Amino acid sequence: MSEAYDYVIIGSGIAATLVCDRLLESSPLASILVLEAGERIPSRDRRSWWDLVLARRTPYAATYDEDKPGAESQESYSVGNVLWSFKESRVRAYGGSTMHWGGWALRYKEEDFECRSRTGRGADWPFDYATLEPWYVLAEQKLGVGGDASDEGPLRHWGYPLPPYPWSANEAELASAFGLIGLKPGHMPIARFKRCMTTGTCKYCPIGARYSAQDHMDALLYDPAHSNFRLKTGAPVRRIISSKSRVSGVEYLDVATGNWCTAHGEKFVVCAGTYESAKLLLASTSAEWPTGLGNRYDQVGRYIVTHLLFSVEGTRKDNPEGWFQEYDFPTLMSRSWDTPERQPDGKMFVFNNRALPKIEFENLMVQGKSRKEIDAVVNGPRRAGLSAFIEEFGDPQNRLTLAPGTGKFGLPKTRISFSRRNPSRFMETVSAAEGELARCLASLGYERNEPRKENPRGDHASGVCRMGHSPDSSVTNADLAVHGVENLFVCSNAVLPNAAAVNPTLTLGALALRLGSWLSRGARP
Amino acid sequence: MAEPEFWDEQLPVDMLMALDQPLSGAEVDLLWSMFRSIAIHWETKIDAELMRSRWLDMLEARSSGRSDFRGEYSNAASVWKAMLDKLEEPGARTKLYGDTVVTNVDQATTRLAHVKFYVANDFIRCFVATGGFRGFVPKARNYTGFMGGSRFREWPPIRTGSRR
Repeated sequence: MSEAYDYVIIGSGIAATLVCDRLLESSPLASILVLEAGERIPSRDRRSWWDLVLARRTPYAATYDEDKPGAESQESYSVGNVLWSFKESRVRAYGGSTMHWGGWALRYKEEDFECRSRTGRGADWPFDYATLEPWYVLAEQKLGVGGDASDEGPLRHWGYPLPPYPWSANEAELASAFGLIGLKPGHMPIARFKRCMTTGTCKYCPIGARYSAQDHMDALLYDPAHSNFRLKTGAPVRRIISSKSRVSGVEYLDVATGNWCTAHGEKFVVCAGTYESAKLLLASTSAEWPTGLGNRYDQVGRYIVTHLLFSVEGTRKDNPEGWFQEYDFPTLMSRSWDTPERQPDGKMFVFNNRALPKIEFENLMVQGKSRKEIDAVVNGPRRAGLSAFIEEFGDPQNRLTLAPGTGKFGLPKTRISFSRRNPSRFMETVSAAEGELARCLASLGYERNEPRKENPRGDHASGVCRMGHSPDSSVTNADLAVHGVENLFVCSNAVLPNAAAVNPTLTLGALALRLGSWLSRGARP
Repeated sequence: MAEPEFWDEQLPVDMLMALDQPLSGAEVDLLWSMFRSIAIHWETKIDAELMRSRWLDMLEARSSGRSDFRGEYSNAASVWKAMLDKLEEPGARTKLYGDTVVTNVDQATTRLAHVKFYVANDFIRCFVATGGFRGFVPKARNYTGFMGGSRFREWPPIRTGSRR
């Protein structure tokens, strides 16, 4: 079976949705095919929500990577000196990882675009912050971000579209001690304002308040003006078909029928997340591209990077107000350690541990505890915590490659090799920051708990198809076009040259809107 | 030798198959009285009537599709009725919520253990999430699963501190 479209989009997460949003805004009758390997997860579904409330079960858990080190069935391998965790880091379904994301919507800062020039490590972007700023503004509008423009952060020409959430009582107390360790408290910008009823079940919103690519793309699909817009789920793309410098189509499996199909098109946009975007290029070999499409200089899959999460928790002896975390998300954050001065050793983004203080009344009741016993827990020891991301730097030795065999959805397995050049120095930096966060907690009467060891996770992975000026050091150019291929684009976290210290989703949204606008106009942004 | 109580009858640990029919009005009423007893058992002073619509929403949502709980609900209504008849409400309430603890599916080997594991524990979670948390901390405004409010409201849906 063969079909032809103006645009073929691979993946259906936030990047695909925002590219389509721009294309259809400009040309409602543009013929677009979106191919999604996974299936539709029920959105705003009462049963799914009650299953989460009652049984802590989400409807997308089955789409997560199998993450059992050593198990024969594992579809994702970590082989470097540092264990790379795949656990619950991406949703493979219609809507992508916005089906489970927290909605944290932060901009990168000016210096993040000049990482190499400033630190001698990582990479520079092929353009500066000012180039992306108008697209950040539009992304914040599309995602419905609420925040406080007076908080520390990059230059803003416009305020947030919506106001910030106030700090909870516990967070306000933590904020009062931030100054002790040089932090200025701010409000977490969050993309969950549309109809938020603060259910505290952000892993599955029953009313679609948090931005979800599925809800957004559904709105585009159900718009009768978009009569040539198609979405196909259960359609994993195995290969991009190219001849010399031009792509003619993609091969995908129609899971429902078991048939192999080809979708032809004029332009192709790979929006398949960091892992699958790189893997698809690597798997698309041909006589002209024997090591993978766009991989003439062996750049695809290299420089995989993220920011390590570390946390400090403490316990104080009592909880006279019976505080517990009443939101399922942090509203307290600080970018005071996310600065050019800290960039050489890794910038940090600090935020409240959203899960603390915790009182789980229902578990105590299920365990048969009496009222008196529960009251003792309510007013007994209280825990609090602060967490941070620390930036790491892209390194050519760290890379994603195809592993033998196929995993879920019939897609190739993933192998990631991740190591640190100077792990002791890196961990010293982390330990020093942990000590500072513990000092902040101690000033409020919290005694530090045993630290947890964290590994880098795939949630915010980037770098494997990074943007740059030259094909010998990058995979895509400033317009996200794959070097050496005239009609193929990558739009996923894979193109981000560095991980910075903050969540990448808003930045990806800005890039997607920029690419979609450019494609719709047929001219560079 | 004394006849075993109805609620002590042995059952396999697997979830009970749902009958292909809706719960009867009498069953729903019994289940509601079982839910309402939670507020009393834990001395919460919560008016459970205010939770009824959300409790019904849960009951309906869990009464279809994959893992249809109607078989368990029907068993729970029968067991609760038998306990009310024999022990009266205070005795039934204490037996179900105080004396019987079933936190692992492997322990769900009797009718009563099924009720506790598959129904009562969920009712407890539903009770807390639909406002029961305020029975323990009256000043609290929000909790996981509670529809705390919206940004359009004039007051925040949580206990807040100063803005700066």
